[in-house]
Amino acid sequence: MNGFITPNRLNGVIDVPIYFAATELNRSRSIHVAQVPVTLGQKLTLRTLTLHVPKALTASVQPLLFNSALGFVSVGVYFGDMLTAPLAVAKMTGVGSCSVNPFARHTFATPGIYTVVVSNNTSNSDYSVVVTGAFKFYL
Amino acid sequence: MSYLTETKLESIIDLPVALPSTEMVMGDWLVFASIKLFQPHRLRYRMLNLQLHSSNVDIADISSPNLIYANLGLAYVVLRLDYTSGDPGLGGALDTLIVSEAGIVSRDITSELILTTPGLYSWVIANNCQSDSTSTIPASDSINLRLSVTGQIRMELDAA
Repeated sequence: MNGFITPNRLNGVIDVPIYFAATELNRSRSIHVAQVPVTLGQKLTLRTLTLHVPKALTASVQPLLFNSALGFVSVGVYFGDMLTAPLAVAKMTGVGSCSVNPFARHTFATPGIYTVVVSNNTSNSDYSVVVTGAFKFYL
Repeated sequence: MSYLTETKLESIIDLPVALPSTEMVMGDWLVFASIKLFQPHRLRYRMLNLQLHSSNVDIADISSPNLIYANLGLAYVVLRLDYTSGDPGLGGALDTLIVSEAGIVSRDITSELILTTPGLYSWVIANNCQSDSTSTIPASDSINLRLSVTGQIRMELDAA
């Protein structure tokens, strides 16, 4: 669909904020940052979600991972309650920053609750974590 | 200037730059938003409000010796490129918003900052106060400030 936008159409498109100021994320903990319920006919897209780890709070420790696929710290979009398979994820294996691929659209249309969760995937390291992003929500 | 299409709208995203009311300890700073920018993306920055709600000391008692940087008020928000660590009040910030009394200050909304250099853009909020023996406030007291930020930045993902 590539027609011009009418005011009615514009009113039905909302940017939903995802933000999480620098917070100490302790070992093995996860925090829900945002939740968006999607019903039939609605659509959610994600193109930008930045994970920034400004500081490791436990220096000189080799992190032990619970799940090697999720790095030390990750932020992901999950469907339902289980932290098993993120639909989109940004992960870090140390201090720095990364983002989900902004050149690809992650589109979610299956009715249900989509949750953004930031998690510390280690059993022995704490990190300071910042998350910023937004969903585009088509009502 | 062409009309807005569905495809164009899909590539324009308004991102939050915000911090709920937070107690900032004297001299402390906090990264509260970070956005990674790739080529050819573009950021359009116009709006930011910084509110100083309260302090644990009488704000009228805070004098110039209590300020770490004399030109940065009681607290400030800076936008920095590729910030990793260190004092955010040092030179090199791309944008600065300063609050010098209780209340709200707003960034000049007519002054649009367009950012295209790839990198990590971080917003850092800082309490610019320090203790001083010549001040009315006892040097043993910490000057803590309750601050909040509300703002937005527009990201254009398919900017040519």
